[in-house]
Amino acid sequence: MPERETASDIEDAANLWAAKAERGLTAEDRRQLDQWLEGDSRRLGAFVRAQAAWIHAERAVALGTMPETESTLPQEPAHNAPRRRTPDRRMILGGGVALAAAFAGAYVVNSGRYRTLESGVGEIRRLVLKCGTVLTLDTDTRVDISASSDDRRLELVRGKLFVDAPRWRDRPLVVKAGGLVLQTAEGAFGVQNLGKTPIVALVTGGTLIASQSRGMFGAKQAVTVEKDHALTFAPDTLLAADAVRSVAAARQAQLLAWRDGMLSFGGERLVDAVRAFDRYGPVRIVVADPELARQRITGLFKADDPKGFAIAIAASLGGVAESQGETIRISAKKSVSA
Amino acid sequence: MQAPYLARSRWLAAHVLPHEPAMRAWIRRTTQISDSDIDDIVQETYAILAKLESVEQIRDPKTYAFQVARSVFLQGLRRSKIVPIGSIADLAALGEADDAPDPEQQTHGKRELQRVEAAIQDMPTQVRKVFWLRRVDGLSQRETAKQLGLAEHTVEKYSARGLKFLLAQFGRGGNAAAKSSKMQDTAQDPVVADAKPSNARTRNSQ
Repeated sequence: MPERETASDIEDAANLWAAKAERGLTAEDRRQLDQWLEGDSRRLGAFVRAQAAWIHAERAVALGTMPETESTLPQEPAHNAPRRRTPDRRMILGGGVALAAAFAGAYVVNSGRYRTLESGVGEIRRLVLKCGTVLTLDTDTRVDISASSDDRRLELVRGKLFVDAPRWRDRPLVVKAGGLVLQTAEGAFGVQNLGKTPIVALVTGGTLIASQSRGMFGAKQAVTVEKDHALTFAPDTLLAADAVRSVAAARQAQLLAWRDGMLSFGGERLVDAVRAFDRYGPVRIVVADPELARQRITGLFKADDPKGFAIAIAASLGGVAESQGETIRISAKKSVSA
Repeated sequence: MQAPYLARSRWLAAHVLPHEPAMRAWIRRTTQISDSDIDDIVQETYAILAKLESVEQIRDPKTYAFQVARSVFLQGLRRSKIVPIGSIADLAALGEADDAPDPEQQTHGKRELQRVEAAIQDMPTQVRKVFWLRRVDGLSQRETAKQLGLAEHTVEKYSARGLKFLLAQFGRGGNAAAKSSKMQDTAQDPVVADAKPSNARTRNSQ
């Protein structure tokens, strides 16, 4: 029996592959990776473990400054002490980029009262706040964070946001969206605020309390949204208990697929599904045939690849997809003319 | 091209990796096999979790991962690739991977951060800079290379080395975060530090 590769050798090779995969693989890389993975069943395990460690390390953002070796650790007290303005090591290292990029999203406003996180079109941002809360911003999303709240009061100005908030002191995490105030002691939930469509809040962990303020003298109306339930709230309506429904696991995965850069459909009409791609880039899909437009579609698609979606869908419905500039047209197959 | 298995790796990062030290301690305690055999089991376990068609029905990923590790161990045993049967301390105990929700779960967030911090502290300076620019400041490989005046290829190698330090926090050395001065109140023995009360009880009562 040939000598068995040690787990440690596999780990080293897997780390290199994970580093490569993280910067992006060419088709040739991918072929080689697949070939390598096939060589031993443990290799895939080591590869996903390395990727998981890389992802897991994103929480280093919460450290704020780069840790030094223990002997040279700066003697700074509590982390909420005001940031020193002297250029520390990190500023020198990262130059001007460091501070803004530490918050991943574009650092647009820092008025002192709040700061703004924004994701660009086609971009999905993940970042960790001081209190350990992990935010995921979907494409074209804006979140304002109140400066005096220790990162516990957010406002979803537009777009989709997923919040995973641990308990932190005695302060609830609050997200304002439209006319609603959502709060939780600890929990995980997705919120969307897409202009004219209803605000949807889907809770996957903990309990969310949603309240609506009716002016200074109006009574505050509140409903509780438990885990595996979603609240749907149309702007300018009154909040009522029947706005909360339970949501099956499969549907939840579909609603949250955007976090992996995917769009998931489970029986939507094609004409509605194509609009979901609009938010991720300049390309617009047009369904030219009313018969096709009514077809219901199912499946998981990459949000940044409207063309791939159009071709796959057209093929499955017996149509064709043609692109002209930034427009992709899905139409029924032309009758054979030659 | 997007990295393969990215969504699954994200799930593993959130639900399995934080429990790897406890899983290793549990295997070590109940089987008394060598560390290198445990490394094999851990890799096989991740491989199986990576290949699952879907994980959304898994309510308790920690328990599930422990069960997978157990079956990997037992399969290895059948093929006698891992250990002679005599060395199993307590096969019955392996059946009890499951337990009540982890009482430490609440403090996990803090502990995870300490693990990452300890890993960064252990990294050599250049590796640490690469890691920080890539992972925290969000620079691309190319931007990082430019910033530090390194070849892109070198940045890639340093990222891989950084990963080794991160993984060491979950691997054989176990809970290296315990070495951090901030965790002096934690037991030094990684096995003890990671043992869950219910498992400890199982063992003591046998």
